[in-house]
Amino acid sequence: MWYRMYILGEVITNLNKNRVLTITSIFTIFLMLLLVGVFGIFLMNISYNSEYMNDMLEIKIFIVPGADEYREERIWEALVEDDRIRHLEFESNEQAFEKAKEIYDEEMLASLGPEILPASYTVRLKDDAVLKDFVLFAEGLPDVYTVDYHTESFEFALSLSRWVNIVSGGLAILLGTLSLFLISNTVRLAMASRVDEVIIMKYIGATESRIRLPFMLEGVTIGFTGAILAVLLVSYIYNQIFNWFITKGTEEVFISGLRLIGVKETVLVVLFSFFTLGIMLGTFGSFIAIRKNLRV
Amino acid sequence: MINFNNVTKVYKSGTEALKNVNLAIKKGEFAFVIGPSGSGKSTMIKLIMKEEEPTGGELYVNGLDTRDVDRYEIPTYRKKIGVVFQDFKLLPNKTAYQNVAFALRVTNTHGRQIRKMVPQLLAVVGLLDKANDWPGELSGGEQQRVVIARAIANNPDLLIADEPTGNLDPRTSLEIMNLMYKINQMGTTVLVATHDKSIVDTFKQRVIVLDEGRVTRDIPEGRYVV
Ligand SMILES: Nc1ncnc2c1ncn2[C@@H]1O[C@H](COP(=O)(O)OP(=O)(O)O)[C@@H](O)[C@H]1O
Ligand SMILES: [Mg+2]
Repeated sequence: MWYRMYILGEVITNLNKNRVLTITSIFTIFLMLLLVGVFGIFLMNISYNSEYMNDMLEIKIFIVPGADEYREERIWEALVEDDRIRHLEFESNEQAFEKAKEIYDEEMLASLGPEILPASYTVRLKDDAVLKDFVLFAEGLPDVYTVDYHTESFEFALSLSRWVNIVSGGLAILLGTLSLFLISNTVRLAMASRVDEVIIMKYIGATESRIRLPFMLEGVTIGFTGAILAVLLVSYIYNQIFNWFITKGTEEVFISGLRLIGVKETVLVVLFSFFTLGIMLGTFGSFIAIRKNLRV
Repeated sequence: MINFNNVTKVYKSGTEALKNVNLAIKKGEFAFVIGPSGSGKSTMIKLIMKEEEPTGGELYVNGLDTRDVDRYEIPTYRKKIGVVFQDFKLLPNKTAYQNVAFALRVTNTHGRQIRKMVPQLLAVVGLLDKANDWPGELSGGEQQRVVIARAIANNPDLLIADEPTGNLDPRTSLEIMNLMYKINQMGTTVLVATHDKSIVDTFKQRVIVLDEGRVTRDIPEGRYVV
């Protein structure tokens, strides 16, 4: 075990010799992971909220309060005929009242009865593109009190996530390539400064893997260090956002009812993926340098 | 130990460095290879180290046909051969002790073993008191002693040296040669390539004379006579 510990010391000494390039490499990996982290967490949260987002594609058609069964039936018939509709569900005012009881204080509702709430039809369209047309149509039906839908905020979130996907994906690939290039250059420089050592190792009978090991570890150390820094910063930032969100965020944020993934789960995912990515890039970066420059 | 069987080496450039060399060096022997610059001494050593391949004939080292030693077997093969080369210097950023320890470490020797062996090796070459000196603080002869300690660190069967006294004064050269002889007396086969005739003469060991890639003379307990 002792000679393995020795290798680590060797690695750190050598990285320190090429300090500027080492730090640049670490910083690039750090930046890349930061980017992947920030956008990754954003996308994770969007998909986490997609259930809610789907609810937002629902159209709620409220019937004038106090309407009788005949008038409710008349709307039902108009909707059932419509082939734009995929899913249709009726909610009576009693059902709505039961739901309200779950959400609001019993006392608050004690003096009231179900008649204060309207009955409604919940509609999901086959193609959400015709949503606006359909809403106009539904609003025109007799005894319809109001029609609820969230199209704008939803479309905005959807297109935002699409753009975030493309931009962050592209940037991450760019930074990933750059960090690969920088790591392999750091390792290449390390090898150039230790040609004598490599020659001696060859003559002495060190195995190829033993000769490569310190160089390999140099790349891995760079990746690992970048990952640690990125994990720390991303976890801190997310924790801050999360705390802000649960204290006063919900009132101010443009879509209320949005939920965030817990800090612990997020940090765990970040930890795992950052270390995997960092170490993979480090290994691959040194591999490129070694393959090109170390003929044993 | 070493058998050159009609060995020829033609470099890619077309230079014929060795021509039909036949040679047998027995286990435990001490032999000089002598000849003017360009006569093929280093080439012989490179073939033994498997740094170059013969273009004709066969070369056996330690009972192995060198052609049968695969790429991945080279480290094990080289571990059995200690080398003292001109371009095989000490690492300047390591002390005498660390330079010797390095050879053991990169061949995966355990730490406890290293701490036991390095002082013994330095004692063999007579440099125990300079264990913590940096190469820059050591004289040329002392540096060469450390190189020899490093070469024998993995207890090789064979020690080969290419111009080991190249940059040393006659007195120091003799000391280094004495050290190699002492190592030979401890059981290691030793092969020394040199163009230094005076040294060869004082030792009265086997002398193999190379000239333009051919073995022209092979003198047991010989003197090198021009
Ligand atoms: N790598 C090489 N490529 C081409 N020619 C070489 C190479 N190494 C040595 N030679 C040539 O082979 C001949 C023998 O060289 P060498 O074995 O180094 O002799 P010595 O060590 O006795 O001086 C010389 O003519 C030299 O120029
Ligand atoms: Mg030579």
